[in-house]
Amino acid sequence: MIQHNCILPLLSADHDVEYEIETDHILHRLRYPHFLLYIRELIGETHELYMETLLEHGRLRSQHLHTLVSHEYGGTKSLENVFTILIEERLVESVPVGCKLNRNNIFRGKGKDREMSPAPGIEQQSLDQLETVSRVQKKISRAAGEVDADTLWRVNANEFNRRFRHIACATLVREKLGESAGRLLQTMLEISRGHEGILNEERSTPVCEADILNFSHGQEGNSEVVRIESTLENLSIDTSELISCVGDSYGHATYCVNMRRIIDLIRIKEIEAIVRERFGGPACRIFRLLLLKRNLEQKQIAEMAMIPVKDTRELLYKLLKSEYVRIQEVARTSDHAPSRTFYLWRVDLLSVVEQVGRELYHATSNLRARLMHELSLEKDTLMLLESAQDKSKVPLTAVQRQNLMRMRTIATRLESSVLRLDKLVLIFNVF
Amino acid sequence: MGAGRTPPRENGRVPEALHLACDVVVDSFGHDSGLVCRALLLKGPRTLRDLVRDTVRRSETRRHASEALDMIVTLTVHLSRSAGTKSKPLPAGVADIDTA
Repeated sequence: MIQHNCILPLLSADHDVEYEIETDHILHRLRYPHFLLYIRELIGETHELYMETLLEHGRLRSQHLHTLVSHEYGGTKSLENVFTILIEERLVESVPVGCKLNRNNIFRGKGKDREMSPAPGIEQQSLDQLETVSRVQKKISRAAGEVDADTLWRVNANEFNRRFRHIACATLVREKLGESAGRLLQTMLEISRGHEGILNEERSTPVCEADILNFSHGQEGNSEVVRIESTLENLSIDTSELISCVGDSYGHATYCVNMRRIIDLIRIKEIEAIVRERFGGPACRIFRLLLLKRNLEQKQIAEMAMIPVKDTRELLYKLLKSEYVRIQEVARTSDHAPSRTFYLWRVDLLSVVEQVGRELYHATSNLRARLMHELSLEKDTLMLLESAQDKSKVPLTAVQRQNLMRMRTIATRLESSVLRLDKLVLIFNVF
Repeated sequence: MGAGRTPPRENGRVPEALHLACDVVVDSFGHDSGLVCRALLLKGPRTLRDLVRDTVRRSETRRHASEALDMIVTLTVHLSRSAGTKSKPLPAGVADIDTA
């Protein structure tokens, strides 16, 4: 489990090594197909092979990785360059060396990793900061023009999550303001990506208009400059506050992307879709109204949402039962008599987001359990297939073949559902 | 939208996430790793010695529970069979409990 980055060794106060579970790293395992798909689409299949090998082995030294990939690849092409690209793109990272001491200090590791220990006195509060240190180490080694042979490398899941976050932001802007706005936002995030420290940054680092134009100029040509400028202006004056103008430098405006704001909008959109799906259109109207107006009485809700009072009451109590809305009592007199009490309805977005996040994990568990159950039903046939040398000549009865086909269809559906669900898990629990 | 800013989540605190993580570990690394994972999730960072003690105790408890269940099943079968017929000698483990 340490090899696969699921457990982290810690140094306790009395110099014993303790082991801590890395829940996030374990849950990243569900996202491996997304990582591979992203690499294949963005960079290429050889890079995907590198990534696949690294994911399969957890952590590897560069030489060992090259050997494994060369063996698999079988080509004569030099693969050193492929790995360098992955390092430069920060899609792989060096494994932080040693143990954390009381969550603050790092001490020197054992055996081969001893020389790779960071400088003494470096204090680290979290794994994100550990990542930052490893980035600094990488920069130093890159500046020296070499990759240390003793360094252990692993997949940088945080970088993948960061890129998925950027893609989600750009997708929302594309849906809201059009293709060019989405592309522009993606460009801004690409420019500022290198400066992002943690995954959940509230805003991107400021990007100068000239940089955006230069970056886009290379991609799209001269004629697009005017269009880009107008898109940028549209984005900055949009009432959703997707980007903010934070100042001027050398006659050019500087912008930053309000990523937290965009993620909030995505979450609200998804929650509204869930409410619509589970309780119907009128319930979604009520939910949206409460989100906009905060505290409202039942009668006000019925009037504003244009729904009969009786139906409004039913829908509100359904939403209350599922904890999508809350009710607050404001008594006018000290005896708390219902006739002299205001009952205000509201949406607590934070708790709804948490609840949906929990439900998503629960749904993922259920899907996986169902998948395991379906596989266990055909366990004997699958073992027979696995043990056979030539899979096409396995003697199977007609019923077995039929069951196998059925199981494959179900497994494909369940696996794709898990992957689709994981996109929502990212939005509600990771971003 | 009149919604407040939602802060980032920590999966380490969500019970559903922990449960899912345990399932993933069992599927990826096997049952024993699942025990280690569960022990670490329940009790936080542990030394190897504590971890061995916790996981062995857990697996022993499970083994004892499984043995007890087997014994109950055997006893029930024995009693149901002997209800209409002449009594037969009890199985070894059950006999031990009886005499104790």
